[in-house]
Amino acid sequence: MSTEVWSEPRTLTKHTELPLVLHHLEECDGHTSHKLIQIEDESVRIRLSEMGFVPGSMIKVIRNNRRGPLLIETKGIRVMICRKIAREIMVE
Amino acid sequence: MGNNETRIILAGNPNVGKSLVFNELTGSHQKIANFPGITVTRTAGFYNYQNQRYDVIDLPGLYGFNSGNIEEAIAHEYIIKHDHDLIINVVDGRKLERNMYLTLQLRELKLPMIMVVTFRDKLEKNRLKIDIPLLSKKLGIPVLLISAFDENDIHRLREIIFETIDSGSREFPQTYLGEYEKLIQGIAELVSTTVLLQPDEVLNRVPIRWVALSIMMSKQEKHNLWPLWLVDKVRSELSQHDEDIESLSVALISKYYDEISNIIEETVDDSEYLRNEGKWSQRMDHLFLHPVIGFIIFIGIMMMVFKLTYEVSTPISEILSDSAGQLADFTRESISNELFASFLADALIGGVGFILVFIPQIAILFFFLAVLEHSGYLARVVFITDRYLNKIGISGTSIAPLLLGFGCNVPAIMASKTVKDENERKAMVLVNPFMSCSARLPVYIIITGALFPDHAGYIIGALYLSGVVVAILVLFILRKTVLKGQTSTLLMELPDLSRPPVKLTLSRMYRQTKNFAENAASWMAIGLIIIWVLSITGPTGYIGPAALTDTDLLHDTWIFAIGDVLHPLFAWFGWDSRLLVALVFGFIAKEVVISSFGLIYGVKTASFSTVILSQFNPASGLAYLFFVLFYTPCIGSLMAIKQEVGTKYMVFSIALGMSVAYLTASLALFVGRLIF
Repeated sequence: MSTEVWSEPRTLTKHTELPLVLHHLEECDGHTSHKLIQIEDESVRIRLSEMGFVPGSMIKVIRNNRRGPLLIETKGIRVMICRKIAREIMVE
Repeated sequence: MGNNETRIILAGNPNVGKSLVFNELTGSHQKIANFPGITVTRTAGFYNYQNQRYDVIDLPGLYGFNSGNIEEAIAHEYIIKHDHDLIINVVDGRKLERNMYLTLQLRELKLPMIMVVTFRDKLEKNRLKIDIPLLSKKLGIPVLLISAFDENDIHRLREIIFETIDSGSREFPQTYLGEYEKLIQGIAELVSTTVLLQPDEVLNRVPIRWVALSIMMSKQEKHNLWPLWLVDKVRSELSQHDEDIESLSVALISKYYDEISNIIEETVDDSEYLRNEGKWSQRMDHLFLHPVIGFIIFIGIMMMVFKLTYEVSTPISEILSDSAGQLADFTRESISNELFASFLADALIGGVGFILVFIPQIAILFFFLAVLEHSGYLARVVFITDRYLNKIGISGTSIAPLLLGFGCNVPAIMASKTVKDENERKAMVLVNPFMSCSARLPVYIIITGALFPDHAGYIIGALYLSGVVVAILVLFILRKTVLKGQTSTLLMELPDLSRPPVKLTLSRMYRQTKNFAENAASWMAIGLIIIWVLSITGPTGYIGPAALTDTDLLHDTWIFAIGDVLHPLFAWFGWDSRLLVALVFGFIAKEVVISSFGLIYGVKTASFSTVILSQFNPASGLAYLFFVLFYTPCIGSLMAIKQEVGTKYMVFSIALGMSVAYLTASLALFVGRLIF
């Protein structure tokens, strides 16, 4: 399991092939799905993993209206997260 | 297995119907208790089967054991520090994938275990097929599909519990954690050799692998779980292997989820799954979670709750109030000893009977709060208010303790334990008493009922609203000045909306009301006995029960003496000395304010309105109401504040309450004079 922390350069290349575009979950629109790459916020990393948000799982953004918390879904379960956490979840 | 009773723990994710299973299993034999020193409540209950007593502990909802979240830490500590005969893991069949993470964790404990899959009816209706026998084989534990509403299912569960404990099997397959197995084994060996050198009781109760995994997967300080020397040893070993706990933890959790995917693939057939259940809830959420419409709905629902509470309960209360009055009269007439008759009729029946009158209101309020919680609506409130609450420096999750305050401030203050930021927690604790608790409702109802018969509802609504507004203002000021800090993050599951189970809601209402009545009755009994003694004695000595009905004699009692001392401070409100004394006693519990009226003014509940009309004009009555709303928290709340944030803040909360009360009461007096 990779433990690098991705920060600024948003475009990384993995296996020197396809460019991998990373987003902060906070920027993802409602009704879109994304693959979870990494949770950078240490305070919630284990909690979110226990709740099923493990690297590689698909996250559906149900609601994100740019203000207030986000509603996201994985494994058929909906979870609300504040923007601060969403800012630190990296998805593909 | 214990000879006398069998100990069962009930564990599961939040919102899986665990309380429902618990409720059906134990029936009426249950009681709420706090985990020692901590205020996350646990519910304990028991049932009898085949002449054997089964004690059941309902743990708080959990996702796992290692996130450092307070509920998980408490449950973990409870599990490792007590002996158990069986674990019942309750899972929601529709959320099997996520639920089974906890199952695989619990299985590592190597205790007899049963998995209970709930919502059988909903699974069948939605054509989600789970191969239960295969799932049971894969997991190596009995799996039972039930509907908690079906008595036969509950009976079958009791049977299986009996059989599982009887067979005493502790042999389970172990989750294979891939390339990490070697590391885990190494750590487990390290733990077991270390433990041989320094035996520790806790370590004998749980499997070594559990201890190893627990230290490897959690970054939290585990002082209270494992001996510190052991944690240090394991951590230094891990750092030699270049393993960082956080990444290791996430990697191991992923391995568990890999295993779950394999199991699910073979046992669950969702090809015909209709997913009808969630659809309705999701459609409603377009409204409930909408930033504007959702907020309006929330305000509307809260207003409805208070309106209904008032309207439904009033007629019932009137009947009870008449009966209490009659009983007091009957007692006074049938006992010849004047002093004893007065003690029974005035202090005990007059006072404690008084509590009875307000039980309907309080029960109905608790009922609505339980409905809001069990229907999943409370979680929606968190979502829509988070954004606004962030502006005043608190997180959406704090809305729950605030709303809980409408019931009783004591548990609400304790519930703020879940707030992570220390300063945010202090601020939340300090403003909670401004949320008007149900004990203040009797005071409002009687005074507004007499002074503003046509607008009582509005005045009461305005009081509640003022409490909220003041709480928000004070929070804002505190968080910008003395109690600055980071706002806690919001991370919470949003359960589907559902019809709250009737039995569960009613049983919750019953237990909370009973709890309230017992507490209130004891505080009131103490308070009223003191007041009664002070009303029949005075600076000159014993006066006698006649003072309760004779105004001239009453002027010689302690009641008047105390009131006269306070009078100059409150002169401009135009309140009688006795009204001030009632406030002093309201400190014991706020409902005592009004019940002491009966005693001090020597009247029956039925003729309260006459007394109130003679004592207040609309403006001074309004001021009195605002004063009662805000002035010092009651003894119970103060004790809770002291326990949660310390004596300094307890003193501060008295000063804060008094200043706000004086200010708002003056304002009410001023406005009242303009209007009336």
